[in-house]
Amino acid sequence: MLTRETMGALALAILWVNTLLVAAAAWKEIAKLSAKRRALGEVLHGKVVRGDGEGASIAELAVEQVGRMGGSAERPSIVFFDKTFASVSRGGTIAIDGGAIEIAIERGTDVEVWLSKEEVERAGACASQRAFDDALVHARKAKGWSRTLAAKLCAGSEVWFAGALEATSGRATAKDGALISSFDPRGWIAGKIAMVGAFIAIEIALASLATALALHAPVFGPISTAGGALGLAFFLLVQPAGTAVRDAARFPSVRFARGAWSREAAPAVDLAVNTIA
Amino acid sequence: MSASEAKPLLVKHPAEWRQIGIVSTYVGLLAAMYFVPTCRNVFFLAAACYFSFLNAVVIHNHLHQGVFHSRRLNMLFRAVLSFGSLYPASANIPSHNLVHHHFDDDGQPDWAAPEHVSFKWNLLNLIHFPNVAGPNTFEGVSRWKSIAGRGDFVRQYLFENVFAFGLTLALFVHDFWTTLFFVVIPQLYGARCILRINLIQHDGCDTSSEWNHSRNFVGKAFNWIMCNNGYHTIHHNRAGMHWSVLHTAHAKEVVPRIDPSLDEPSMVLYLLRTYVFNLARPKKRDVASAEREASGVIELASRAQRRAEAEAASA
Repeated sequence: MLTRETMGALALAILWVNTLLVAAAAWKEIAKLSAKRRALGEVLHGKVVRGDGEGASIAELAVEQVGRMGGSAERPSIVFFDKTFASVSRGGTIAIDGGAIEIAIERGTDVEVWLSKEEVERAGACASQRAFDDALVHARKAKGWSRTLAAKLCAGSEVWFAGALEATSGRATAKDGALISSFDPRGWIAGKIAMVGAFIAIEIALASLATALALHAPVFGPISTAGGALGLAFFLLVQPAGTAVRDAARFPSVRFARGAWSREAAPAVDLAVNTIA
Repeated sequence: MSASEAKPLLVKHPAEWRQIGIVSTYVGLLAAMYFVPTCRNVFFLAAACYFSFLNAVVIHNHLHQGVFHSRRLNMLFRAVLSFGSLYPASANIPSHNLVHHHFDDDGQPDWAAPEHVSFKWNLLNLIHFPNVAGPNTFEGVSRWKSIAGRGDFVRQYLFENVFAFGLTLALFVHDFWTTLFFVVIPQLYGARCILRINLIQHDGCDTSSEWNHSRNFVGKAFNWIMCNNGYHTIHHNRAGMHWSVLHTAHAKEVVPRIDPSLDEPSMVLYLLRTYVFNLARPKKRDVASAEREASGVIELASRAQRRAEAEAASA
């Protein structure tokens, strides 16, 4: 017969194997972030002085999305789902150290673009109620409304640059693989490493607390039962917590944009919600 | 109406009684361990864990094609199955029928893609996989059900959650430790194993190919108890085909086009070889060369079309 003690030991073993696996997966995120920091090498700080793309942009983060109708017929919204991410160089010039050095980014150079969450959200915001209405016509359909969310880094913006340069015709030109960021990537990486590290520490601490409570004498008494309940809740919740930390540590060039549009006023389009038949 | 044309009683296909038997056995094992202390032994616990996994297999089959003629019975059966695995069975519609069968989520990876785990020690990938695929799935379902027109799904999903977690909570209130050890451990074992199956069935395969995207397990006894879920390639390509005839279609359509390594005779031997006796994850091979070299063409609807058909059938 399987005694409570035997099953308790089994349950704790399951809890700890899982806890350590989630921690190990989080540790791999730290390793990935650290490797990125090492790969960056020297990071230069400057300003975009010229952008050859639309709106004087030097580079942009392009997220292909599909928007589908959410909410209700009375209060419709458009919910966005990310499809693909692309960093695009539009060409331009960055001035480093107040203009002492200029770096040319040629159009089509393979770059990685990092923009802040707020910049991407602003780029994806609904421009007008008319835009909402136009998009909703397509978002109601099964195929949804496809769009490219293009967040741009434009002339006049602060910029951080990391990557190899080549000297061409007396000027420095970025080679493929450069990073162009609107914020200091070193600080971002350090912050994310700290966040993941804190997650690992808190995770182990909570598992330890649940274990200590579960083993509190008399075992299987009230405090021990509270520990068992905490342990189960922890087992179930540490999994989504682990994936949330993973998603929060995604490099900004592939950070989920998603988002949603809502319309406060009554819609101009006569809606008949197309249910999935 | 002739005898051959008569509809079976209650169920759409006579073979469905096997699935009902599996679920009844599972619930019986849980009840036995809960109410009868002498049933709390290794044999019953191991059997309950195994049947919990089979319960999750029934969820898979039932959410592709309902077992009963009656829609109401099908929805109630979903609730019973949800309790068995402690997750809402309807989650299978977006996660499995739509996203996994398409092998992607509108350009983003399948929520249960093997690539979501990457430990060097392959056994850790197998153990850890549900920790990633599970949250990916429920977050994806949450986004999917926020789309308008899915009211029926939202109501059924809520009903299944309330039933599964409500009944489990009631059992906890009545007897916490017995519920934790002899109900929840089997429930979670089955739920986590059915997530692991995604890794077992697709790791090392070519999900961009038409016939070499899945690994099959073709043992006869295995497929009897697993309701032919070992025949995974043909199931992906003909999702509307009833599980009882998958073995015939596998022999006719899949075998001539599949890399021999993707037809495993035994899941137990495969698991031992891949996760216990070898530390490293097997390197990827060009398994799709088998279908390029095969003669004869079988027309399959495009994956986009198959997804649209599955979405339409998912009400």
